[in-house]
Amino acid sequence: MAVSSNAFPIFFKHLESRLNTRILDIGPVCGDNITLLARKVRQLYICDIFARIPKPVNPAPPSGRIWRHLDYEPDTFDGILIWNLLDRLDSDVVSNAGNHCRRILKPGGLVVAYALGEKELNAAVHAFVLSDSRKVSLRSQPHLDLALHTRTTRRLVEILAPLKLEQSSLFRNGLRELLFKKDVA
Amino acid sequence: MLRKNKNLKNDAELEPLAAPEPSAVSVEKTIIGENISIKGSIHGKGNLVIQGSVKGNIDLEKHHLTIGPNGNVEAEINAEHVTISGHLTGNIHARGKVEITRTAEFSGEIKAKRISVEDGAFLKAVIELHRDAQPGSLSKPSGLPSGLPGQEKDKPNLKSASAKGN
Repeated sequence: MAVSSNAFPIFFKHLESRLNTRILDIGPVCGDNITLLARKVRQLYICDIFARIPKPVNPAPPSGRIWRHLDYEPDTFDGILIWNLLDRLDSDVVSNAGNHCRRILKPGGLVVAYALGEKELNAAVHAFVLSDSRKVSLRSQPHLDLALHTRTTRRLVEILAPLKLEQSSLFRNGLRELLFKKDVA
Repeated sequence: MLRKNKNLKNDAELEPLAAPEPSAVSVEKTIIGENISIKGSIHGKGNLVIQGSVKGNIDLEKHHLTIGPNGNVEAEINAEHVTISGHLTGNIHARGKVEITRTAEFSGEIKAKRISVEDGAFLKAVIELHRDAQPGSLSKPSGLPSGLPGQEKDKPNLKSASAKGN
């Protein structure tokens, strides 16, 4: 079931006001999103963090080095898209997500983050498919076998605390959508 | 070893007495096999399929480059169309379309007119589409202020849509 995003109309409006827009999608790779987003910005960066998360084996290997893949210059992006990633990282790794996003985001830049419902039982990784610039639907990614770490919305906001929360939406299917902004100063 | 295939597009090859239609003209394709490694520049006026290993520059002008599932390429690429199913590190400049299949591993920049990507592809990429026919592009200034506009209301499928941190 598709939901109607509250964040993307704001996100795209924000991009309209900027020159030479660059946004970063950190996965999972979704062809529909790439096709749509690449036509809306000057440069679309893709860095699929999902493909770099260690698989859930016992004992789990360290996953703390995945942030090194976001080796972009500071203040590079007008926007960053985080689909389902915050549900998939170990606690010690996810806690650094906000700092890494803040570093590579331009002043005034936006982050759109999605998380599955707090009571989600389906552990499958999903791509969040964006269509018509605001409709968001889920598509299972069976090739990504990753552990689910369901986190409360409060915890998600804490994780991205280096950024300012602009908007939080909870949809009927439990899906959560968060919009953050980096301070201009 | 390099080898060439001639792919006839229709049943004309079954009727040797018939003169080939212009649309049935064979498309010459060169295949670099799995056991072949090439280091250097490749220039060509035909389609190329890489199943082996190539390091260098590839310039096919108005033709199609395919990197097969077992292909391993590290190159600057200039072609009309590019299809990636294998491993590619480098930059692509395509006048037409770039296709990335789910088995692909790509790292680099893509400049193309169109792009398609299958779920499951492994990407670290910068994608820049040609701007000549982009009516939906947001990359130009619109004169709008840079602040955030107000939130939209009345979303029927929302349980709630408010600034909160439960």
